[in-house]
Amino acid sequence: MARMAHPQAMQPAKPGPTRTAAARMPQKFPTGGRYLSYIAFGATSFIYLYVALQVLRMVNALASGEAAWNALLESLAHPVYLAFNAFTFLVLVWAGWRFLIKLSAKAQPKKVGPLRPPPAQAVPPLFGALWLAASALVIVVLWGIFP
Amino acid sequence: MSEVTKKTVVVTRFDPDQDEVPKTQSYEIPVQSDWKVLDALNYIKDEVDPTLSHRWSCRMAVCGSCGMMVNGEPKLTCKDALSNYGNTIEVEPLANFPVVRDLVVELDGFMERFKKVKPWIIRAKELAVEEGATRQSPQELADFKQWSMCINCMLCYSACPVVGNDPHFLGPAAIALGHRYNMDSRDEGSAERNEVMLEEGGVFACSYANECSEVCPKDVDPAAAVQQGKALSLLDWAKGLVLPRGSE
Repeated sequence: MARMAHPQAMQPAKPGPTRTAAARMPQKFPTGGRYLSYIAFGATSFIYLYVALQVLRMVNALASGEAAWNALLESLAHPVYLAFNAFTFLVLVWAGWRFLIKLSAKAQPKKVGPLRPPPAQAVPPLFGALWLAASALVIVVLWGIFP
Repeated sequence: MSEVTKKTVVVTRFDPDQDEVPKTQSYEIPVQSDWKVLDALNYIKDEVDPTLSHRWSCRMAVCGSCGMMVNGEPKLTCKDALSNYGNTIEVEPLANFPVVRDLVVELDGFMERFKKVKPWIIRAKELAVEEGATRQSPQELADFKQWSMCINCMLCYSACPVVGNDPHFLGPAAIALGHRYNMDSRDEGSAERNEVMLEEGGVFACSYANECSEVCPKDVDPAAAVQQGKALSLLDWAKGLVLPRGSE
């Protein structure tokens, strides 16, 4: 049985003359079917929150002098933290893919100026390829290959 | 002649005069291979149990009346083939809506949300008849046509997790409809609508599950309307901070 929705969900401002049964959430919510991807997408916000706290920590270290800054840099060089960074990057790629590309394919304009658009089936892979290329470029730059 | 087999349809029943909470009732019925889910419900109503209540009208996926949860997914039952399912099919009223009776849900809350986004063309000054019609190019039509295809079937509301958790949320179809008018070249009411879009329960209540666009039977993309609405209403708000009142 699906869990109950909010007691006021989709209720009219004034109750009607007939007693109604309370609304229920969709049966597959929160972990069934496509909702799992949505929950995972939402859960990535914890990572952004953690990264934001790290930025505050960096600002604090900068204000506390050279010794604090060096200690922070040393802690950031820890293998666990580097692994976390790699994980964060993968999360960002996935969240960007989901938010910007996969979910917006239906709303692409039928025509862009005088240009004929590619077939609808080709749009998501094209955007996907662009996104992967941009991500690869970021990796290359972060790796320090370019001066 | 299509093949006849037997299927069990498990239907949610609720009588507001007798039941505290909805219950289920099973019907084993003969079905033809070309039937839709609605055909099975109509068979039950006509031949087995006339007390069953469900909404339907056009039987061609145009009126948007027959939306129900079929095996946990919001579907237009006149469009959804029985052959998509196994021998047992579970039919429930649309999720996230109060239930009036059996498979019939309360619509008033939905209609109130529609009115809030002012789904009509707003003009600063109406053209006089002798000035002729307001013309629109095919490109201008294409800018909003996608969202004008909505049939108000409410499947997007029953799929959206925010609708079930936030009673203030305008919901996907209402926001898409407001966005449809904001994108219409003949309309001059976007500032009024964007005030509603930025209120509590407006576009920023959406947490982008995208279920609305996944389940839409008419291939409308309400999720994109909501995201575009976020950008446009924010831009409108920012313009209001820096530009003199009344300027574009």
